[in-house]
Amino acid sequence: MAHKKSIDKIETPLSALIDVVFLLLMYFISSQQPEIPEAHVAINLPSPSAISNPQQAPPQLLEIHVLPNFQYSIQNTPMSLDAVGTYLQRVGALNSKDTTVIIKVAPDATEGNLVSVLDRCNKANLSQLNVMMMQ
Amino acid sequence: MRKREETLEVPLSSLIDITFLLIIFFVVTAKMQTDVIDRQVDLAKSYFIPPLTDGPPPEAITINVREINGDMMIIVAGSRYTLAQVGQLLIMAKNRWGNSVPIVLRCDSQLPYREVQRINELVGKAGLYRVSHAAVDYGRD
Repeated sequence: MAHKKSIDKIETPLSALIDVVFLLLMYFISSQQPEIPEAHVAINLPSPSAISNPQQAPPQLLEIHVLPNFQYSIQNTPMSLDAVGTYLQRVGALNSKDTTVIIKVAPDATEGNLVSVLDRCNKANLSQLNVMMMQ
Repeated sequence: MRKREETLEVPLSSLIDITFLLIIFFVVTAKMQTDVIDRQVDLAKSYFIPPLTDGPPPEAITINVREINGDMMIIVAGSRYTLAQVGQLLIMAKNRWGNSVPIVLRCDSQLPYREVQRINELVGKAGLYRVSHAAVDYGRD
């Protein structure tokens, strides 16, 4: 009688492998962090030794004051943020390249107040932005 | 007569293939290096500043400033720095890369500007001039 030879099958323990694989997957899914969409706005700080070229025509200056509690003023005229944005857009439409914006920030005003004004300046295509703190 | 038992076989090989593909995807997209940005900084919102597409240049120094209980906490490349240490870091950066090394300030939106001014003064003392303020891009109106 022919005996059927039992063929020994080598079984790989798949269940343990799948467990490890899923654990790794859960680790990487949970450690994923969403990307924060950032925007950067370049500013000029006051230079300790500013050398001016006397032959150059003086730039058009626009002074904006950033005060605490979301208060702003342009050329000493108090305005809301939206009014500041509208004014800047009018200035930017006329002459954005030659206009230098000087933003004076009160010590108690917040970074958010400053960024709001920088944001509106960017909308008006005003890129010559100088920021200093009010004394 | 013996009934032939039907066994249900789950096709595991395809499942394992997909699982490995997913793992490879997450491994590739995971960032292993120390993040220079501090995600706990509550940045101000911007609507009209174009968002960054490529990120800041590799030599840029990102200074994260948080306000905690009225006190300023400065974090650079994941480590806490004092103002004096930030000043030394800026001088070292200028000596290494010149005075055109970009500085990125990531400050809490509620941080009083007088605290930001302290960092501006250090930047000015180091002779650097390329300063940018970071904000979260909320798109355009």
